[in-house]
Amino acid sequence: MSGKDGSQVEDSVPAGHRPADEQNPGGGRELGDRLRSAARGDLSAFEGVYRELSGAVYGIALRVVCDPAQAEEVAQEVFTEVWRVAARFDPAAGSARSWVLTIAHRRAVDRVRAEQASSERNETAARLAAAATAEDQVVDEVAHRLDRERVRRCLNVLTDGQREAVRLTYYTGYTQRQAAELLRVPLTTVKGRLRDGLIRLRDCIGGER
Amino acid sequence: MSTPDHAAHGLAAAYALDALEESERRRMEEHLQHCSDCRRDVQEFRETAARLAEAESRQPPAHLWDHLRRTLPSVRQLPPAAEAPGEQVRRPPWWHAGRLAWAVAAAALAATVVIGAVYAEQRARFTELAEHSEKVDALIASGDASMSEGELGEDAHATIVSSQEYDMAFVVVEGLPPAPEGMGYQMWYVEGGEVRPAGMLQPSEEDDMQSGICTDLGSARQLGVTMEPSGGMPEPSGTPMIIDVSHDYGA
Repeated sequence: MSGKDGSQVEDSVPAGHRPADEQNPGGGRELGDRLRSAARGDLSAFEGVYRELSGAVYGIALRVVCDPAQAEEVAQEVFTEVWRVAARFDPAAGSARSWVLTIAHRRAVDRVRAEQASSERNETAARLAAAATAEDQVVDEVAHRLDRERVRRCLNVLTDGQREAVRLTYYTGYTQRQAAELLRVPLTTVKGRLRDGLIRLRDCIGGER
Repeated sequence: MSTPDHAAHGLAAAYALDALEESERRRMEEHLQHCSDCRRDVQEFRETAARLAEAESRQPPAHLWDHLRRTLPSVRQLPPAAEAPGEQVRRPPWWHAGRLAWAVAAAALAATVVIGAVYAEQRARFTELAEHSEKVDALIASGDASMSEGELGEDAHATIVSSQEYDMAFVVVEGLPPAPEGMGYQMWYVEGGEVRPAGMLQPSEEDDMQSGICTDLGSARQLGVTMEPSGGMPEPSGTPMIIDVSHDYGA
């Protein structure tokens, strides 16, 4: 396939990147099988999990914590935890992908909240500002263009209020209560926006790969 | 059963996005055990959130895998469980089986049982035995397993992995001469001045090794070993060789 500037891009994609749905239809089941093997100590199966998901794990960590060094620490904690509790993955409860990325997001958010607990108001303002511009700084990798486009398009389907609620919570790590305070709206308003926004996103993006 | 938490339904989206305060999160987790509608919602919302995460993909530094590759083999893993998902295992499943016998299963287990980087050099002793029994895996992988070892008598060396959570200890002794026909090595719990029977050691396939599992550890701080008739005795016939069970109790 061709890169953005017309150069040839190898078929083997860089670590952390995989082609979108159509080119990797078996991806989901394979990942679950690898986790199952990893649970029995198979490190090379686990490497497969890492190659598949490290981009998303690191990427969402970076988006939430903003600092690359911390994002790297979070990514390391996440994969260590995934290795440790791989046996807990239950295919009936969801995809392997969402299991790992749920762990990743929670770890990133926990770290940010631990920071916030001991930081000043100007730190908060800086993070809000960073959150607003982060989208522009995303590196445009060919392999993920389809995914990004779909998510961007679907985020635009939301109302401003819904999008902002998702941004403040999922992407920045505030609780919905904190978001309500920042926006100076009732908590129930934020709750509703989050729920409706996420429903719209779910319906637009589609389900599991 | 307590009144259903109807208001919790509205928390599913926030829960899936990690946007709840700690107390609300716990409330939601409790609610999810009873509400399949919410479980389904949360599952779907999490899949959606996973797509948001993927859209943020960035190449991590190459040394990240390098570091993981080197450190993960020493990271203790939860054993693959036989119980149904959602069940909380407080004791190994075979706990309730009457008399506990140390059984070495024929099928080799591929699992790597790791006690910890500090004890890596001890791993060989356990690996062979542990690989033949899932039961021992559960103990060794339990969150509070602690290990102690020491000399037993003049020539023998004992290693004990004990768990307060499971109230049991796994004992491996090397260097005991094989017991004569009709005799065996018996273990004893030593608590204060009291000595009570703790089961027989069994010879393993390794020439020099005996091993056993003690349950109902209670607050015993030491284990003793004597040679007795192979059916065991209610009291030791001689002064037991003693080893401390754990240095960590009470910590």
